[in-house]
Amino acid sequence: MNKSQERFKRLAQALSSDVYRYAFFLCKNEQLAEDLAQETFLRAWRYLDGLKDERKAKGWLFTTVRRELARHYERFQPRFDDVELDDLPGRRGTDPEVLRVRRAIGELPLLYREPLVLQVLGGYSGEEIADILGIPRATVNTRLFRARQKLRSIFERGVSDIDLDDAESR
Amino acid sequence: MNCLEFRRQIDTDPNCPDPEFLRHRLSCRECAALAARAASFQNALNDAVRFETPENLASRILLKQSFSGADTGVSRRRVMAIAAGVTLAVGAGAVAHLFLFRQSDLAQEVFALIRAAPDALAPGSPLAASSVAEALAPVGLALKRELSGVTFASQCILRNRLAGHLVIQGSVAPVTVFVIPGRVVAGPESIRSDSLRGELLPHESGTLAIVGARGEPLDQVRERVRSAITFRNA
Repeated sequence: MNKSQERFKRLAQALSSDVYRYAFFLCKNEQLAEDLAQETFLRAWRYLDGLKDERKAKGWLFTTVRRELARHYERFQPRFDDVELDDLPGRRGTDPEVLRVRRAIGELPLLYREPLVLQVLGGYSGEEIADILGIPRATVNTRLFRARQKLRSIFERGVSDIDLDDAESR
Repeated sequence: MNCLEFRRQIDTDPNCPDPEFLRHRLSCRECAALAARAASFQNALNDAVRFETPENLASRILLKQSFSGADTGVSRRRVMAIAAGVTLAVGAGAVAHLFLFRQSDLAQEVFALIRAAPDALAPGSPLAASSVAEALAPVGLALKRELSGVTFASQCILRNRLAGHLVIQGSVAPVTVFVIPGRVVAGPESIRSDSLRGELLPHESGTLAIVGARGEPLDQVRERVRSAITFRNA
């Protein structure tokens, strides 16, 4: 195994789960999430020498997931009957409270869901999220604020009442 | 920072490292209690996003990569060095005949490469002739004359060999051109995928792959490329 293959293997082992999770929260479809993760890593392999700083690998891969999903939707119209929130992975044996929050995240409009997942799963700052999404920092903060407020009310009161204005959402 | 600002920050980023945010938390009992509840919520969020992923996901990714037939830039340099040695030893003509390949494999790889690099198709200003020549030089290619309208020039790996990768502005949309040294096809062959169409054709001791969106005429680009690009050892 040469150095590139070793490097790629380390990346896949360290980051494939988070890449899959991010893809899943974008598309909410397990099969598509795995396809996106596979395509993302294949592309990463082809352009591995372009990744100079390993610390930026996750952001690089997340950005590639977004592009792969956009390309997928260019080729195929999304089938909304594929979206089954009850099929969120790891249902069995998981704390019901965690399941409730997970389901609530899944029900957030993508507009709010994506920056929140980037923050919690990716550990990114508002500025980094703004870079990844290509939107102003203030917009990121507003979306995070609204997403967290809504989810916290669910978490603290046990109420499932997602009613964020999703006029802007895709 | 006052309580209102603190609470807004909690609902934006509870892990905010701002010293004022931390100071307020220490000085205000109500906000400290709010922060404690936010920490509990943050734990639930952390657990919620980290669900189990499919078994052997990384192994399947590595397996797919091993069958992808592509290589990285690091290995590209190695391939380039090997290719140079082979060229010196046996000559490009012999290499071309040694590496005959099946058209369908090449076509699939051509389409996969185009799909893998959408950024290459992004609109851009035409590159200077010197930039195009510089990108093609490691492949053993040179410009006989200026090739106008090139918006992307680089190298790539096709069939495990270093090849030239150009994007040229066509009459409507960008056209991708791969120049593959040491590879030949018997004659021009049409290739197509869902949204792309193109052709493989012999060019000196190698092969050209020219691909554009369906409906994009390729004739002009083909003639411009054939009259401008040559193998240095041709």
